[in-house]
Amino acid sequence: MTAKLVLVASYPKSGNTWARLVFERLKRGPSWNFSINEMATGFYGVSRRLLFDSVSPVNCSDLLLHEIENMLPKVLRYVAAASSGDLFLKVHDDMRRTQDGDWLYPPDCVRSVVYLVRHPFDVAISCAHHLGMTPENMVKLMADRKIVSHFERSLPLSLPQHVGSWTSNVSSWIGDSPYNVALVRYEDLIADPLAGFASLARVAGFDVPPSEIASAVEVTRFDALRREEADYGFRERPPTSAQFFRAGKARSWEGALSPELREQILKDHGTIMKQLGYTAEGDVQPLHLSYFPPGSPARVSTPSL
Amino acid sequence: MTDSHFAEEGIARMDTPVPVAGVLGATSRIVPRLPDHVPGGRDVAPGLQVGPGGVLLSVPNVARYLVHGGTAIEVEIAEGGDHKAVELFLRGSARAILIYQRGELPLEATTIIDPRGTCIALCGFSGAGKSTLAAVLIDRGARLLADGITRVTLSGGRPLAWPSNTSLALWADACETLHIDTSKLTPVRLDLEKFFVPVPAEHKPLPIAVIVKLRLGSSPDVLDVPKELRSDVIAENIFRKLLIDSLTQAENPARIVEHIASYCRVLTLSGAREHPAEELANCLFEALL
Repeated sequence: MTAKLVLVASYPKSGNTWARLVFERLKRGPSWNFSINEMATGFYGVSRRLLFDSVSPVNCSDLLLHEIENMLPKVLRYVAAASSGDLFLKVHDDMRRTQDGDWLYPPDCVRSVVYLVRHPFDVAISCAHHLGMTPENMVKLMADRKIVSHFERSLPLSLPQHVGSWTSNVSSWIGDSPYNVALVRYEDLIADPLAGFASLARVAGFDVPPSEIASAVEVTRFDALRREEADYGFRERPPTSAQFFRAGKARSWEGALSPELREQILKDHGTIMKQLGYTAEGDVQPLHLSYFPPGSPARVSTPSL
Repeated sequence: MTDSHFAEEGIARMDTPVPVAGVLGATSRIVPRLPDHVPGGRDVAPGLQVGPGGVLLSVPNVARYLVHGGTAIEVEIAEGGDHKAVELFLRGSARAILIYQRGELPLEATTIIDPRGTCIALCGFSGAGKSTLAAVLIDRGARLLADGITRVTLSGGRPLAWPSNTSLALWADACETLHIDTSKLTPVRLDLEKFFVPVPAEHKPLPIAVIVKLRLGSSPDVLDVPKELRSDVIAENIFRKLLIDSLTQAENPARIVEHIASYCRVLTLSGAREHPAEELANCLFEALL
């Protein structure tokens, strides 16, 4: 039986983990004793390396970057064919083709993509905390199209990934696409998680009653996640970060991001921000959740002012 | 018999048999062309075809390897293929497949002999730091038996590890930490900052005494694996266990795993990648006293 892949994709620190926790709860059902540390890895980081090496006849530690990328779609296709039940992948890559010309994530294996975005002011501060960087350096990093997490002199634990700049990452996934892409803003999920996750659950292939959505939203409340991390830690927290579940709200950039840095972010990402309803004042204009069948350009609507 | 497929000028020695490291009686040779498919074969994984005629391993833009009978590997070099990469995958995956064909066990382990003569197989996922830990142990008097893939057979029921390497493959960063000058070392392949570092080596097969499984973890710690769990821990570290049914009669490596579990002490060593290899080596030494 062939499984389908559901990609939970985003630029880092944009709500990816929250979405995956909800999906995990929906997948395992209400009888599962919810724990942030028992969430499936999403085949991210070291688990993607292990997956690769379990299927590829040669180890990725002996391969060059483009060779790893060329092989990855084949590995994913093999895993989908060998699995039953949908597999949820955590994705921070931008959407692109490999050097061989294949889509990195084979479209015929992908059920849908849930693509999350968050106001880049909040992303800057959240990522800075996560990576142990200054906001200044993080803003520079967000503008860099060439971000590849792959080192040359040593072997990183994670498989290489090409994140790109915030703009290139977002625009790659909401542009012309071979996938069914559901674009969702983190801020809209916070404002109405029941409605938001009800839509996303359908996109992700779940057929569950509203009561289960409500239950999943309840156990993944930010304060509950924060408490569990404080008590037991969170295995996805990197050593550079003091706390993974740190703020969990909109406008967490206030008081932390200088006017100069906000100006820089606007300069680097203003076009996409406008398209997504993200204002220069850090606000979020109303926007409709969108679901795009393959081939159709992502349509984002903002109300006329 | 020569031990390399390439003359110093990098020219391939066509049709010249070269012994397969650590597998007596098995040879590899470069051929002008291999068949596109293994007759009667089927794809079992990306780049891997299995049929009655053997196993065809393909590494794009490097080489294709036809492994058959547990005794022979034929190699077709891709146009422009990096010769170092050709030999890297020959000595790695192609050799592992050959070992399976012989009914033996290719363990994903770097194996050393400590100064007291104890044979220790360091296992763990690729990137866990097996070779780096081995380098530290060799610096303290150990000898290298095998790096990357260790061939394990049974002799009178005892699991035997076979010698196959006289150098460790170490990344540039690890070399720097270990004060190894890489300027005159051979890279494992072009465009990769990973080098073959010659080290004192053991040249005869020895019974394995200890299996050490490297694990990630926030603190360096050594734990003895209880007898009833040893087979599972060892089985996690055999070459491509997902594909084993396609590559061999699964009962053969399973039998060897059981014997390793019976005869060997099995430890888990946590703290891989998060703690320096020196600290992990200290932990291990203490546990083995």
